[in-house]
Amino acid sequence: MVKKVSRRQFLKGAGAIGVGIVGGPLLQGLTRGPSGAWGAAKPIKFGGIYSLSGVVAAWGKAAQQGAMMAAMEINQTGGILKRPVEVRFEDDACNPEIGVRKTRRLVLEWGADFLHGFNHSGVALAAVPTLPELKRMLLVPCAAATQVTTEAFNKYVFRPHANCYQSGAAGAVAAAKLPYKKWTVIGPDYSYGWDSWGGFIGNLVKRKPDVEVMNTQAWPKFGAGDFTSYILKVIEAKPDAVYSSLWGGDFITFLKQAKRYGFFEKVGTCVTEAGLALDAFYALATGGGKESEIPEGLWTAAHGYWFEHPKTERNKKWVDKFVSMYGEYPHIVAHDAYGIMYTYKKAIEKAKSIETDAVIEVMETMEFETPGYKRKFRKEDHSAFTGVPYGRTVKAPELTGIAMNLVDISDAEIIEPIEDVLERRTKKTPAPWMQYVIKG
Amino acid sequence: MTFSTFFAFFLNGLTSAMTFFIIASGLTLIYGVLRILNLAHGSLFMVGAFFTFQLTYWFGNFWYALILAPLICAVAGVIMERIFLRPVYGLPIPFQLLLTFGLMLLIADIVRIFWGVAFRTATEPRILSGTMNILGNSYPRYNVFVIIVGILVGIFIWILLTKTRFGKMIRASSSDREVANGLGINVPWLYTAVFGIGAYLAGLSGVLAAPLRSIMLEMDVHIIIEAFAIVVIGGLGSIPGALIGSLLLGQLNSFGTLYIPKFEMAFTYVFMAIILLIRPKGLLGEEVG
Repeated sequence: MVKKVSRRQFLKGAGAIGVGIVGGPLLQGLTRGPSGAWGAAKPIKFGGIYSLSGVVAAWGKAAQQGAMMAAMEINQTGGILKRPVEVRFEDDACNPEIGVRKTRRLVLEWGADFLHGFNHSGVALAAVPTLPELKRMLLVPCAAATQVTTEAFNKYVFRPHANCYQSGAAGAVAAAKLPYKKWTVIGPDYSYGWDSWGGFIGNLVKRKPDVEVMNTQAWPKFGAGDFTSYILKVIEAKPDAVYSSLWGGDFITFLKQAKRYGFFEKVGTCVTEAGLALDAFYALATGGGKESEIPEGLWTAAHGYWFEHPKTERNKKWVDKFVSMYGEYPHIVAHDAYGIMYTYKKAIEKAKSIETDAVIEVMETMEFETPGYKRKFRKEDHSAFTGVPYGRTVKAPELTGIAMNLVDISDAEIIEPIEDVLERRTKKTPAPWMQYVIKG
Repeated sequence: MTFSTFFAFFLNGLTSAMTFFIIASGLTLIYGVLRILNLAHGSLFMVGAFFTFQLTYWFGNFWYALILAPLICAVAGVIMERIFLRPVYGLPIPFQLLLTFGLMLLIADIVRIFWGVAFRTATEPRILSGTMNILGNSYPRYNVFVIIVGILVGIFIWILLTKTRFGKMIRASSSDREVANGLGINVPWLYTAVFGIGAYLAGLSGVLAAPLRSIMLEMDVHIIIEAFAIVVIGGLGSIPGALIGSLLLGQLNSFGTLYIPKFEMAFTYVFMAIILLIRPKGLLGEEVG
């Protein structure tokens, strides 16, 4: 029975002390495993590696929520190949070295049959090369740097959601309709920051050749607590519009600081792929959730999923169920981590085996579904054909019970041409959009 | 670059310098008197920021947070000193570092249990929001408020240390604990008080930083590194040193971003290394108060 959580209840949860412990009991129930005859069957083990501590722990928690919810449902409905599933999560602390260690540990000590994970692209890129030696598949629901499925590609890695090229291209579809010509960027100085901007601006230049890519760009370090000097520098350069690949706490800090300098009035618009994912909407709510610090008119993909979109029955039902379980709306990473468990289920059942190679073979060309989207893997690079939603922020408390919402969302489905991906993989040349990343 | 832009960067540097100074002065005060390098000092900064979120969430009023959150940190500091630090006075520095590192992890976990992993924010009172005109520049009012509080804290510490009996006691026991004890100064009590003041300053700095950024786990790690660098640059135990270190680092970060952004990540450490090569005890090392 799905119980709808009222706005009041939801906000109580968002502000109260103690929300950190939500989910703990659920996890225990899962790892204990079900009782009865089928419970005696050897469980299939799914290991997840996410940033459960550190600067983007909110994103790791979202992955845990989604994957746990799916695992519970799967166990309630007979498991996979009549075997129960068991899940375990490890914390990479947003650190590449720890990420690699935890990946190995999940396989070598715990005996994970399948892996999913990574919020931070830097951590994902460090862990992907260990997969061939571990002989385990990895589905990546969050980290979006294109390199994961191009330069660093091996047959074990799959990305069931949009990478930077795809979401950049989708952003370019929206931005090409805007009247702005001079574009610059403020983004974190690592793979995701560069690829996200590059994917966006490279596609925007293709769609709108009169776009000018400015030389003055801002590349602060990931997790910096102070962006004010960069903000002033960007304002001083007088761009028409700004792209921001900052995300998580970084984007929230940036937004708070930028507002003080009238940044959003001085630039025509700001486009951010992941900066305004659901975590930011929650964090920037004020006045008991009736208001928000987020200005209207910013463009975002919410990193690939916004819970009010698409408006299908399936998505609505899923969101309601999620809210009744966790007392909050699902974050993109919860949505995609949930999808991952069912993607594995479908592939394993089709392969009738949990042998890595057999499952890979099936998954490579498989269609799969998340609560919001129908997607299909591309055989050559294991990236997914998928729609990427881009929408604009608007004050709309009556719509969702949070002060700010995305409207006019449209999904663009654009994927990097496979020839380009394969050429880059063989020649190990840097992505063509790196020419737009100017530090100096 | 116009003068007004230059001035805006300068003010920016000053705002971050003042947040740095408030936290670093607490750290250096504690070291100067107790000879404890408190790695958990940044944790109190984080606790101050989280309480700012919670109190503004409950009461919708930043001023409650400004008054209460630093006091909560001071109380936490007093408890820390009484229970955990007392037994390690006089032990070699590695023991103290291990202990305060442990406290840092402990506090981070407590914060995580209470507030979860979500990002939090706090807003300044309306009277401090918006901008004001300074020399033809519109500059955020709240940043000016931070600068003023920083200056007031500096004056307060200066008066406390040089003009009051309590300050004399602090200076006496920091130069010679045994003699101070012999002269009838209640050194254990004094230590607790100093640690409480240091913790208060860390909390205050957290409150002031809260409206300027996302409040999240790991804030402690970032700030303690900056605070340590400042204290080392200025000279361990020296409050004027902490002030100079903060001002230098604030401006270096601000203008460095403008002129040599490629090396932004290294500013603090390169600067610290240069100072240590030239003056191993820091700019104003060995002077307390």
